[in-house]
Amino acid sequence: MTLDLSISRRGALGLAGGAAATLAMPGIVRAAGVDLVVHYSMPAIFKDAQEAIAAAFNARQSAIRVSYVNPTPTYEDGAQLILRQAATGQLPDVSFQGLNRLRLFAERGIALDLRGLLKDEGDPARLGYSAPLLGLGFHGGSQAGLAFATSNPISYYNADLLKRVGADPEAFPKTWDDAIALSAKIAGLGDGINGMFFRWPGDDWMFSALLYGYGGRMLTTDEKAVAFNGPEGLAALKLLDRMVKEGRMPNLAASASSTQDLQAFAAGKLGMMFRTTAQVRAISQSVGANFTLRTTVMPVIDPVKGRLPTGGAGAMITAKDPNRQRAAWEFVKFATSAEGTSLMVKNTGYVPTNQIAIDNPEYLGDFYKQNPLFVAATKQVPLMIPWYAFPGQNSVRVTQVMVDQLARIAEQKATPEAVLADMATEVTKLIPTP
Amino acid sequence: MAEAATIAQTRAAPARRHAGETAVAWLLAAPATLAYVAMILVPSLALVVLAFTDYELGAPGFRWVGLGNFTELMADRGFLRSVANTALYVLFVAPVSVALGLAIALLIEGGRRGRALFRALFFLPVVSLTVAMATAWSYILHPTIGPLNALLRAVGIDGANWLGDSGTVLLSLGLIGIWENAGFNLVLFLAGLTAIPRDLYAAAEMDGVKSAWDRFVTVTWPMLGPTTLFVVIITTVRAIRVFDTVATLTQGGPNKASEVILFTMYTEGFSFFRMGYSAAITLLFLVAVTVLMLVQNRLIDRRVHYG
Amino acid sequence: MAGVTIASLHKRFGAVRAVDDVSLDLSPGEFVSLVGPSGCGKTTLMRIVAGLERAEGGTVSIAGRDVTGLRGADRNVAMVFQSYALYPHMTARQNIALPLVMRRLGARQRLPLVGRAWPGTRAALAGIEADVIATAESLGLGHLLDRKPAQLSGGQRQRVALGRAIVRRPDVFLMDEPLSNLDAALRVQTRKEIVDLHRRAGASTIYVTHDQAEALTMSDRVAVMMAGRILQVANPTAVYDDPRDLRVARFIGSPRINTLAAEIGADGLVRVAGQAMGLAASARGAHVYALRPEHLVLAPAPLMQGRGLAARVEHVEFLGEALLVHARLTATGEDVVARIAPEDRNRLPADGVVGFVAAPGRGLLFGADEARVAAVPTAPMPAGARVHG
Repeated sequence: MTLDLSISRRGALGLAGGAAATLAMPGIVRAAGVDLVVHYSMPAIFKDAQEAIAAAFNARQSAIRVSYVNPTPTYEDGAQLILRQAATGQLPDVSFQGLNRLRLFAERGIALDLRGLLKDEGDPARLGYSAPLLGLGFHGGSQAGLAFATSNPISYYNADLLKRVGADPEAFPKTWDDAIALSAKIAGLGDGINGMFFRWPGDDWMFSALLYGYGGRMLTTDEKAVAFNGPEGLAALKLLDRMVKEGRMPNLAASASSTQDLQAFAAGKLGMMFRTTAQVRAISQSVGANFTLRTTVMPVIDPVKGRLPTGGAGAMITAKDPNRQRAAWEFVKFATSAEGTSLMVKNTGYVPTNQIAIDNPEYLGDFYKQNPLFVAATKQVPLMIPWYAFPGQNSVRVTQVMVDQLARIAEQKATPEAVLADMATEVTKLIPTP
Repeated sequence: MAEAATIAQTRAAPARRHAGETAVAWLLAAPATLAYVAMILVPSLALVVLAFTDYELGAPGFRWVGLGNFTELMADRGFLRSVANTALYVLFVAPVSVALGLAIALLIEGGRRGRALFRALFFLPVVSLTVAMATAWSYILHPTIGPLNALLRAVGIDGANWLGDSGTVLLSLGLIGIWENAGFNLVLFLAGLTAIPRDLYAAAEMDGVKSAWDRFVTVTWPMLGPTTLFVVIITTVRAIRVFDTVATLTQGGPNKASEVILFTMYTEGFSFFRMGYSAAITLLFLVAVTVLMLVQNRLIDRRVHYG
Repeated sequence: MAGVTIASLHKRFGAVRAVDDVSLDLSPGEFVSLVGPSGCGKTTLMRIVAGLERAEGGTVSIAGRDVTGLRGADRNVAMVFQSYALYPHMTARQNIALPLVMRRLGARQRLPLVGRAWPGTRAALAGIEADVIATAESLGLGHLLDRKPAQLSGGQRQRVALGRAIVRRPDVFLMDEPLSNLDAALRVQTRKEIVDLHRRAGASTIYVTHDQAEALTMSDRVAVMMAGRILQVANPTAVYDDPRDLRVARFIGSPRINTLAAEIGADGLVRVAGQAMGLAASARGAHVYALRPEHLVLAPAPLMQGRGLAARVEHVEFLGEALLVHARLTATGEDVVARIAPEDRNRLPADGVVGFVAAPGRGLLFGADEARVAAVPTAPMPAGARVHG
């Protein structure tokens, strides 16, 4: 009853407010003063952006005050915190979580399904929410959250090393064949120099990049069986195998937190790196003036079917009280608006999510002119699809199984065929049986 | 009658005083008792309960699964691998770091100069934060740009991919563990050495004990007995508890080659959110460590305390 | 049987001269005590003889052989420590056997398990066992051999330590305050045992103690050491009755010897507060007159008939076999102590004013440099004034 009532009132207010989404907020002023508690992770990356957004939001209206709880250092810590707080009933109102973790919160009933609130806003496109953007937060039939900051894998390269082997830094390889050949050439320089590192350790994200590149998918559409064990998956593993064999890719320490590839790259001993665009700021800082750092799009595998996985963070509403949920929605909406997105991009280097901010150069045109290293990822926006989140209680464990299996190829201890078969067997054991 | 009353009274007085003493005793012990109950007993009991459920972090409820978690563990490749890895790690790190700590302590004790300097130098790893050292180690052990391999190349040896190769990763972590533990043991041994009465060495000299080795066997080693027992137990526990180097350097990789029990416990509980399963691992771990300590204590204690 | 010759040893610790030009001869089988206050250098001197400390100058010879350059283990010297220094992890048997094991077995024979396989090991071990048992029996330790030191009483540990020292028949015994950790009764008993032991073993013995009673009762000769120097070496009677130095006189004897400021006039008579003390010397001027408490002859002042020194009794201590009378000289305010028989207590005057003279021939005279000054007795005491003697 109450919910219906409030929705209808919200709808009325929304209509009365008219044009831009953010203008709907004055309606809330009458609702009540709400102190909104917000949580996010990785302050090293997001602190400036979050504070800029909260400052702008708080300056704009006075009914809702946004304050942050202590940010958690990693996505993993952030997920733990919310799960613990869900058990003890101390949840914040809004939490920013890794995109592939949203499903876990949806399945545990912690993340509010945003479809109702979205419906009241009318056409999502009017708010700048494209279908792919909404898709990033849609899991298992629920709109668990809205993408806030997104990333995709890009190519980083050392232009000086390319020149040393006679390659044109302006014409970076467009295909993996060329990239692997170039890697072998660079590795031929000796002196501890390696050609490339494809960042497969840590989680399944970069493996997805190869799998999606061939047009493959992790599980069948009904999510009851593995689907990566087809020709696309085999091709992806064979490509990784070729990077090691032909591209002479070193087996740098296999951990998510390992920085051996970054160390080698910053020292000018690594020609190319393939990893998330989220690291652009940190990498350009560590490279400094050691050599000319360039970034560009990933080599293309299948120009038609090929896609790339999306990393980054999404906002979810964890408030239980309808009044707080409405206040939370206003903040989430602002954080993912064209204005919020612009603040996020300028303070982090992630890819913008809001279509209005992407299309209208007023928002970010100048920023990209001044920061060309950030451009590569934006060119791949049309290719971005969700980073697949596995269903069931073993969702995170599955990714570990995949990394462990990839290590066998990186160490050249098994063939792609054997690895694919083992990976399929193990993952099958871990997904929910119907 | 009167006499009986007086006797009763005189008996009652000490009884009352005794009751008062008991109350004061409880009062004085209360903070520690409360802390123990709240910080150790209750969590341990909760852990035991959890170990028989399928509780997941954030889940609204849980089911009793009996020994389900334990039967799953026995068939879990990752867990079995991590038990084996931990055993190897302990068997490598504990004896070597105890022996090394003792050897350096004897050298420092026997030397004339720079005792404070050497002691500080070798103790440094103990106070340095492993997490902070992780970047340094990952650089030092870097297969291509690492100083270690550069050094080896300079003398014509092809270095290994220390942390990236499943064949060497446990060895590398073990060496880091030894580096961390030897300094700690060294300080304990130094304290033990200074506690040995000088008269015993004088007596040994008079008794015709001439060589350094004979002096070590006759006086130093037996007198270090209690210290050694303590060091062995502490080092074993520290080695079994290896976690931070694994978490920061390898995360159990490549392909579980450096997976150790505490890291498995952590990933199951806090990465995979399977608290029940993680609790089962913790329970097995606690039981194993307790048994190990008891056995060690029983076996060695009788030989080192000369009562 | 071997003598020990210590010749002009020097040893400093920083600015402190711990051993300052010390020479000492022990004839074979002699028992010499080194006695002196704490820090006088006696233990350092002993450790130099043992080879545990290196002297900066001088030589040590044992049985005519210069051992100055030899380490302790090579000197055939045994030492008994104040702390006993028993190996706590070994049984009494193993403790006593160790010096024999180290000397009679080679390094390989001492290896656990395999050592026994070496030729001759078994025979050597049997010999050691026999010697250990013989030694233990002579010390009454036979039934305690399998105990560890922690399971033995202080006196038993002491005996194990002695056993470990005598079992290998050393040339020289060194004992560093071996009795100071024992209670009084046990100390007196062990004193005798050590003397017996010494007599049987016949080895030259240097015995360090700060307890003059031990030194006087046990030794052939006593060496009194102070500030790194030996002041006097003599038999116990001579050290007591005929000290060559005021410091020796003061250190030996309990209660301490009485010392009074004295003046020798032109007539050669030694006077304290104007009273002649029955001594004459050829020296003149200010001196120190010393008199042991048992050599004070006390009488009620009226009986003294104007002779002797007047003093007021401050208090009286009862020791059982004697009384100590503490008194203050009326003339100079100097304190004196007299030892008298308990039955003489009721002869002390009620007003506490007494007079005293020295027992005939007993006063000692020292110069300002604390060295003994020759003096001869003059007139004997009148018999009637005698209270105690």
